[in-house]
Amino acid sequence: MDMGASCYRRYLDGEQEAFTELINLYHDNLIFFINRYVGSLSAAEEIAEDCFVALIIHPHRYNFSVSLKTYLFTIARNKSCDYLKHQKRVGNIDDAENYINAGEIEQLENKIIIDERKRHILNVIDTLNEDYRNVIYLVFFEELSNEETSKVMKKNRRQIENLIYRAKAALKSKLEKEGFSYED
Amino acid sequence: MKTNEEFKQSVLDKSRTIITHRRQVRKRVMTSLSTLSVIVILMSGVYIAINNNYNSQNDNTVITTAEAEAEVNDHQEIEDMLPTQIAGESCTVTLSGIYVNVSSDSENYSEMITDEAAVKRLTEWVNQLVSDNKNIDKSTFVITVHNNEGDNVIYLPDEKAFFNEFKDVIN
Repeated sequence: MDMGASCYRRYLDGEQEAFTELINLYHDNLIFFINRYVGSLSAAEEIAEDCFVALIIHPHRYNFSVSLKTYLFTIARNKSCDYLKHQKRVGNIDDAENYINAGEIEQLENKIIIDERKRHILNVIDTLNEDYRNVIYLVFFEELSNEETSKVMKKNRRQIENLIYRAKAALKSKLEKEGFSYED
Repeated sequence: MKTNEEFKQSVLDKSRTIITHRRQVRKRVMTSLSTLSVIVILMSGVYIAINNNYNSQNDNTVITTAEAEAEVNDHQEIEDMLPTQIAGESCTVTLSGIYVNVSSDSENYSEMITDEAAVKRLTEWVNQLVSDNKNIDKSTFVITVHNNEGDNVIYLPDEKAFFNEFKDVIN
């Protein structure tokens, strides 16, 4: 059982403090992940809250067969997609807010990605298409396995492997264009 | 951006609100369901009462009998048949007389009435009674009509009215 799942187990057994540990464990990464989907920090924060609310009000839905991180990121992805669909219908009114929050996003990025090299790569990753971006982020930054990534992205394992291969190739080509040097 | 503590508080508040809302909705649904079930029970009670009342009103106003026990359910058929036979005018059956048999708690009386005028008058009276479709209580009073095809038993509601009407005929 991973650390998140054991925290959640303790929370379900009545230890309220375990929920704080859960939030400390996944709060930043989850918001950062959602923000990459929805492109709005405040919306990402709201959605992340909803993910944790889902843990409280539907405790029976998580059966401890996958890691809690995978489960949370799956909820986050689904909720982000719902949010984007909704935004398409009602129109996006968060542009001004995004501008204001640009500094905060950078702050969050600094918190999560301490390594300067990784941050530079992340900036290049942002120029890739959505599936490539997400698969690279989940596998190389969140360090989820291919199996776990396939669950989050609702694709099969083979598709994930292909996506990783193509995403790495696309990333390599972009990095080379920018004159980025790396070891083989 | 919220701090972890603010974030946690916000999550807890949200979940509390959702849980409270769900409880209220569940409570409202349960109340509606119980109200609905009470209405259904009342409606079925009313239906049963109306149905019983209808059945009791139509329950063998006139009963034909060879043995004075067999009940005939088809009320309309008896009603159609009986007055014609009793009147003795428009059918070939010869009316031999009316046997008045009173068997109630207070009275125990029986007599054969053969006087033609009395039979006719009595027949008209009975016919009127049947056509008025009065609430006839079969436990109170019985008239047996004799003819050559068998007996017909008519249950009358009010024996006093009968005796007042026919005190000159019945001894």
